[in-house]
Amino acid sequence: MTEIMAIASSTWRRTFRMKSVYFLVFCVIVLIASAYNYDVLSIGRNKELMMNVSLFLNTIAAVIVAISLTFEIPKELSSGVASTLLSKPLGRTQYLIGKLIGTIITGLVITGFITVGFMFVFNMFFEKVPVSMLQGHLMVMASLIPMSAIALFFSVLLPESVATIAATLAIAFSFMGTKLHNIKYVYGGIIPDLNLLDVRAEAVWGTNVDEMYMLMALVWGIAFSVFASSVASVVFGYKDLK
Amino acid sequence: MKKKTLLTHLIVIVVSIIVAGGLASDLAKKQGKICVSKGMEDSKNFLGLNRFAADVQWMLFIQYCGSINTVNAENAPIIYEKLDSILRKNPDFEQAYEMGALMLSVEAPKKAIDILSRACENPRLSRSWKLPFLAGFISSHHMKEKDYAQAERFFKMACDMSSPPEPYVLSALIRAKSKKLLAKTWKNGITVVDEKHAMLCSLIEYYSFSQKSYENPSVGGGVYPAGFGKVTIPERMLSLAQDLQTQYPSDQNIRKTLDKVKEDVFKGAHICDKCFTPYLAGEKFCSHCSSQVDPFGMCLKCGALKRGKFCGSCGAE
Repeated sequence: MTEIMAIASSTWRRTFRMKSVYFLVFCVIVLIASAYNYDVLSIGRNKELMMNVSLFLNTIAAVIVAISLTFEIPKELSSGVASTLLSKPLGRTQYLIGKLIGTIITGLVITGFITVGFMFVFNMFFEKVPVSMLQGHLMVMASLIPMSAIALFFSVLLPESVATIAATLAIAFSFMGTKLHNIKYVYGGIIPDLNLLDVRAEAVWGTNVDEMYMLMALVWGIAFSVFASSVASVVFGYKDLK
Repeated sequence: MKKKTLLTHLIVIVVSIIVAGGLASDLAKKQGKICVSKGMEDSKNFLGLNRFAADVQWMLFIQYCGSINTVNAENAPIIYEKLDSILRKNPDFEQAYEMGALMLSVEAPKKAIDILSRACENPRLSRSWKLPFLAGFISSHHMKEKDYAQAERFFKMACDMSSPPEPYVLSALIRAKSKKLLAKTWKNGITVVDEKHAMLCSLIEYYSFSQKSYENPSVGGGVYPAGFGKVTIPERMLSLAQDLQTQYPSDQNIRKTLDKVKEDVFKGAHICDKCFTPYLAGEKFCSHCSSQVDPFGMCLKCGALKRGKFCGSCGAE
């Protein structure tokens, strides 16, 4: 566990050392706040627009953080950093889990900042943030878990640039739902459906989502990421490292 | 990779597939109940950005609307296409349904109704009664061949969605009902003679329905008022009955309808059989047509007007 947390902390520390991350988060919050000015242009829909923009940008932030894994792992593999790390008493699975946890924590912090920023901005321009909106943002944060697992899977399977494209497409298409609903265990077990974590429409409409549903969706995300990272670990186990 | 490690991995993979797969099936079912309009949304939800894309398209649509002088045959299909795209991405977009349908109502009423029909099917907009009202209005006013049956269906929907319904929605429902009945056969082989007759028939139908909904609100999805605005439905029926009686004194269809009004609505009421004018206690003849009426509120012994249980003149009960 110590080794896993060491890898994870090195991942998030590297990201949080970059000042550009904070600048980007600030830019996102400014963009969310700018939706207030679209009052006339949208015929009085600036409140809904602000909600939708916040959820959209938070999702994009989550995707970018998850995708960063597809740069990091192949880069560490090609530069030999991974080989150096793995020459120490550290298993390949532990390395991957460490990377996954580090990325998830990074993403949670960044999307958390955006959520808090949105709440502040919304509170300033409109009224108190509805519970449903908070739930919507929490679900976006939860979607980071399966997204990062998808990125991890592609990062060990494919070379850097291809892995990024493949992971982005896989994440994007996972939101489109699937026609495999009836194939039990394949749907959701092997083929992810990120739609299950998408309650953005309900968030904006003001419908509170059942806490049990949110919890189950979170557990699904964790279970799916266990599957994806286990497969990635098996593939990584047979990979020749420099 | 060691065999033991591989085996552990395989077990973890199988268990996680079972757990995730089982949960996903359950979640998909639950989501159908929570996210009621998801089924109506475009399945090409790239990165889940449908709603945001709908907002952006909405603003572009407003810009487009600002760039045209009028809605004509040339730009109506473009407007419909733009609206369709917005509404497929965000089926809960009430403003787009309303504004879009109003824009298309004159030039392309069928497309306007198509848009509004989609809104009526959305359970999330089940309280937005203005949308079916608008659809009913377009069906009965803007269509080349006016579809009163469809209008009635939409007006009824608007009434069901708002409890109690606005007087003008109720009035529109009854008018659509009566237009539908024109030159057709109503109950008991009664052929509808003219607009007033059709109106009376639909008022009789509505009155009995409103009475049932009052006794049992689950009948019509809510309590329906027995009037619109200041005029009560029996008052309106009485006025129509008087007009019809004067206009068609010997028409059998009118006679049968008036009998039905008496039976269903004014049973036990003190109304002149001939001209449908109400009369007061103590009156022996109708003040309007001088026909003999069945007097009430009089002392049977001395014939004086009774104000209570006992006669004020002779003390008889």
